[in-house]
Order: sequence, then C-alpha cells, then structure tokens
Amino acid sequence: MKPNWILTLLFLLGLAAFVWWGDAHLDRFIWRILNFGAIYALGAVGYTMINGVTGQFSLGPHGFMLLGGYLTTLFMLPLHQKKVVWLFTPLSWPFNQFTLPYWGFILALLAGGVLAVLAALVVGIPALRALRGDYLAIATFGFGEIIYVLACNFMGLTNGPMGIKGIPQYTNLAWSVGALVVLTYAAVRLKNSSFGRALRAIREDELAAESMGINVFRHKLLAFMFSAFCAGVAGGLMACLIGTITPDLFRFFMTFYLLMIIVLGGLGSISGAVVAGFIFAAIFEALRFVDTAVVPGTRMVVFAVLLILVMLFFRRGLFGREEFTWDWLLGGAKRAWRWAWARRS
Amino acid sequence: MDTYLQQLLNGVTLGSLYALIAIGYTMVYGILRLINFAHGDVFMWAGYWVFFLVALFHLPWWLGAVCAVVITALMGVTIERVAYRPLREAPRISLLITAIGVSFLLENLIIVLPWASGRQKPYPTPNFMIQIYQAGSVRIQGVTIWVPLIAAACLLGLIFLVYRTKVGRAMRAIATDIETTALMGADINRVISYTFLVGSALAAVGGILWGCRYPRLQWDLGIMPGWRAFTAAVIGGIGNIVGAMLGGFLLGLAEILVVAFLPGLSGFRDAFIFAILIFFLLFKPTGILGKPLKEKV
Repeated sequence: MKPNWILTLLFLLGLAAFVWWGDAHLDRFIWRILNFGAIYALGAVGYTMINGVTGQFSLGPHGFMLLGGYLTTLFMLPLHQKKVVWLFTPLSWPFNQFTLPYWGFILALLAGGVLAVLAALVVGIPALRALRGDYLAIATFGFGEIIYVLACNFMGLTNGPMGIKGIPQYTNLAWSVGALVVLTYAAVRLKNSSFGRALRAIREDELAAESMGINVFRHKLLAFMFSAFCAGVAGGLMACLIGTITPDLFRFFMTFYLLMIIVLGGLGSISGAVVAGFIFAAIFEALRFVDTAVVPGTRMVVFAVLLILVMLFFRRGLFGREEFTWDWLLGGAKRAWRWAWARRS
Repeated sequence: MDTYLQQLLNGVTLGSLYALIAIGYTMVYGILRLINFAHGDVFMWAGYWVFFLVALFHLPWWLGAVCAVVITALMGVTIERVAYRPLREAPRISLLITAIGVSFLLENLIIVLPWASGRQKPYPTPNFMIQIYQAGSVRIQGVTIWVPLIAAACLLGLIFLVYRTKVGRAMRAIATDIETTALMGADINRVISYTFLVGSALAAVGGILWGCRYPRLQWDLGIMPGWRAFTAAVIGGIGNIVGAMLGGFLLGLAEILVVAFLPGLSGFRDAFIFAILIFFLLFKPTGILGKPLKEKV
C-alpha cells in the first residue's frame, strides 16, 4: 500500500511539472490535442460511471455538455463581445449585466456543472425510476435532442443556430488536466466505496441488489448526477478551448465520441476511460489527413467501423472492468524483465 | 373546408410514410428487443439508391425503384448478418452500441461517397407523382393519392405475410418466446433474416415515396423521420404491427395539423416529437395496443 501512495504522489508531481512546462513551451498543435484529450477523458469518466459502472445506458451527455458549455460562456464572455454577438435579439437579463474576470473561470465551470446536475435531476427523477435498458437510452437521447432544439430557439440566451464567438480562450492544460485529475479522483473514490459497490451490484442484477436493501433509484440518480456534472464541466472547458460554440457542436456525435471512448477503454473502467480519451483525441487528429486527402467525413467512417469492430471482436476494451494499479504496472514490468532476462543471448 | 380536406390528405400521406418505417422498428424490437438505430439510415439509403440507379445509371424510374427496394432489403439483411448476429448472446446494450455504430457508418458513407458527396442531391421524381389532379375545388398532387395507396397495399401484404404464412407464424412465435420456438425446430436465424428483409423493404418503399414527397436528398434525411416513426411505433405499442400503423397515421396527422394551424410552434417540432416519445415511455410504455411485458427474473 505504502509504495503505491508514494508512486501516486510522484506521478502527480510529475504531471504538475509537465502541465506547468507544457502550458508555456509545448508545441501548440500537441498542446491542443492534449487539451481535447483531457476534456474528452473528463466527459468519458463521468459517462462510464453511469453507463459502465452502474450499467444504466444513457445517451444524453451531449445535452449536459451543451448546458455546461453555454452557461460557462454566458459567464465568461466579455461585455463588449456580448453586444456584438446578440445583434438581433438582445441578451437576457442577468447575463447582459456582468462578466467574470479570469479568476471567475472556476466559478463558471462549477456553475455549468451544477446546471447540468439540475437538468440531470429533472430528467433522472422520472426516467431512472421508470425506465431501464434501451428505453432509458431513448429517453435520455430524447432529452439531448430537446435541449438542442431549445438552444436553437431561445435566441435571448444562446443566440440560436448562429452560435457565440469570441469566447475568451482560458482553457489550458492546468485547467483541463486539473479538472480531469480532481474528478477522476472523485470517481475512483466513489467506485471503490460502498456506494460504488452498490452501483456495481445494480449493474450485475438490479433485482438482487434491491433485495439486498440497496436503494436502487437513489444510487442510479446519484451516479447520473455525477456523470452530468462531469459532462457540464467538460462542456465549459471545451467552449473556452475552441472559442466559438454553436448548438451543432453539442449534437449526438459528441455522445458518440464519448461512447467510443468508454467502449474502447472498457465499459466500467475509469482509468480505461482516461487512457482511451487521450488515445481518441490523438487518433482524431492523426486521421485529419484522411479528411483532407480523401473527403471530409472519412474520419467518421473509420470511427464507426472501429466502434463496430471493437464491439464484435474486442468487447472487453483496453481495460475491461479493471482499473490501472501500480501493482499491475510493477508486476508487468517485473514479468517483462524476467522474460527478457531468460531470453538473453 | 377545402383547407381541412387538403391538410387531412397531407396528414394521411405523411402518416402512411411513418407507418411504413415504423413497421421495421416494431418487428425488430418484437423479435430481438433491439432498437435498430440504423433503420432510419436504411430508409435514407433507399432514396439514394433510386438516385444512383435512375439519375446515374439511367434506368427507367419503376425499374430503379424496384431494384432500390431489393438492394435496400438486402442491405438490411447484411447489417443483421454482419453486425447483429454475432452479438445474439451478448448483453442487449452491446447490441444497441453496435446499432449506433452502424447508423453512423451508413450516414457518413453517404457523406464520403463520391457520387453522393455530402451536398444535397435532387431526387428523380416521376411524372405521375408530380401531376396535379383536380376534383371539384380540391387540387390534389399525384403524391397525395399514390403514397397512401402504395403504402396501404404494402401494409395489407405485410399483414397477410405475418398472419397467414408459415414464416409469419414463426415470426410471431419468436416474438413470444425465442427459446421455445427454437426447440420446436424453427430456424431462428432464417426467420430473423426474413424479419430484417421485410422491415428494410418496407422502409425502402417508405424512403422512395418520401423522396417523391420531399425531393431533396441529404445524409441526415433519415434521422428525424426515423425518430418520428420510432415514436409512432411506441405510441402504437412497440412489437405490435397494427399498432405501428395506427401510431404512424396518428403521428402524421397530428404533425400536419400542428404545423398547419399553429405555425409559430414549428421551430419546436422535433422537441415535441421527443417530448411525446418520453411521455409515452414514462407513462404508457406499452402504447395504445401493446400488451404489458412481464419482468423476467
């Protein structure tokens, strides 16, 4: 136990040093990929809590990301930019009165997460009580689409399909990786607590879990709220990374990306979601040449085929339901060393 | 009065299109308990097949349409064979994820294909669909007459197939209890292939007629009609074929009436569809005609 604790601390220190160095010196292209990777990973960590750990299939994270992204934007957009963007319909009160300085970014992100949690309560209380399996998937998907339609129509808050531009690009590795580390830590602690064991019991057999005295609905709802919070924060980070948002940025394909990530990482594995999030962002950029060389959209064909292939032949994903542990890494290194030692010539 | 009649006819036209698509959802759900996400995209592909065959290969329209139905039906069977059958024993959620993957694949293939390449394409509409018939003071376009007639013929054929033939009996048996039916000696895989064949063929007919009604082809053409048809299937009671037809007509009529008489709300049209869907899932998951499903322990 003890050496693992030290290893974790060392890893975090190294990560902090890398982030500090990376924000200043890293090549902008790689810096951007890493930011996207961290944001996708953050969304995926939340998503795998409800989809993988609890086994309740939600298809709504794009709706939560939209809420988080827009609320963060409304908080952070400078006042003069607000005047430029909302030309036809004036921006609603109270957002036309104020804007937050840089230090307020954390408040804006938290507000985005909280708004997503409130939405999760509105959806989750009826849906998680009554529905499971694919019906739950459809209901959450419908929620995401309703949010999209509302975002297109409430011009006074969202500026409709034209979107919002000129968002201050505050997101950097410190913010995105910081949020990822904090929420991943929370997710791992949740998964390994009695609460997390209850979630896994619900995934394995809901009726059995209920007869063991687990309040199934309450556990599902809390997991759903956690996943919504992660998605909301991820949406806010993404808005302030890209600098421009439209409702189309948060359509179903965003959920498709997150679904790919958690399937690739292994449904139910938090460390799998983190690793796969970065892998996904890297592949996504690496395949950009296909889009420019062949036809725009080829990337999505590749991803769709990849998802089908993973589901057909590699359903375990990278990590299965296991988590990354230092013991696993050290044990693996030891075995590899012995193997190489035995085969030395 | 004429406006009402006109709108009523429009509603019936749209409703019969929804009914044709909804059949595929409801049959597959009845048998595999799978929400076939890719069904709306199969529907979209049918329109593109007509475009490929008629506009690019210059086949006569009727021949192109027939070929498109056959090709699309085979597409449905292939999807089931390649992507769904290997997961028959897997958790149902895996099946749903694969279906989402297939749906994205079909949509993005259209974006990528050089002959379709993303932009909107004009749909080759035959003359008898555009021609306008005059009956008294009511002017009716060919589409409004032919679409419900063709749809009704297909639906009657389907009812005959399901309730009067051996394959149909096997389908109904599998929908009730798949293991017992297998023990009785029915070839489960063959019957499921037939189900996808029939469902996709009806969606293809729907897609071809849809093109005559709304002659513009685009990659996302299948998404919203697909969801509306799925909503129709849920309203009628998912798994119930007659219910899907009924739900389709109800939804088509409701949509036309809302758009015609409350035009201010048409921006929220899609949100209403999903609100209806969620409402039914929450409060009447068995729909109007469905039988309650017992929880299996």
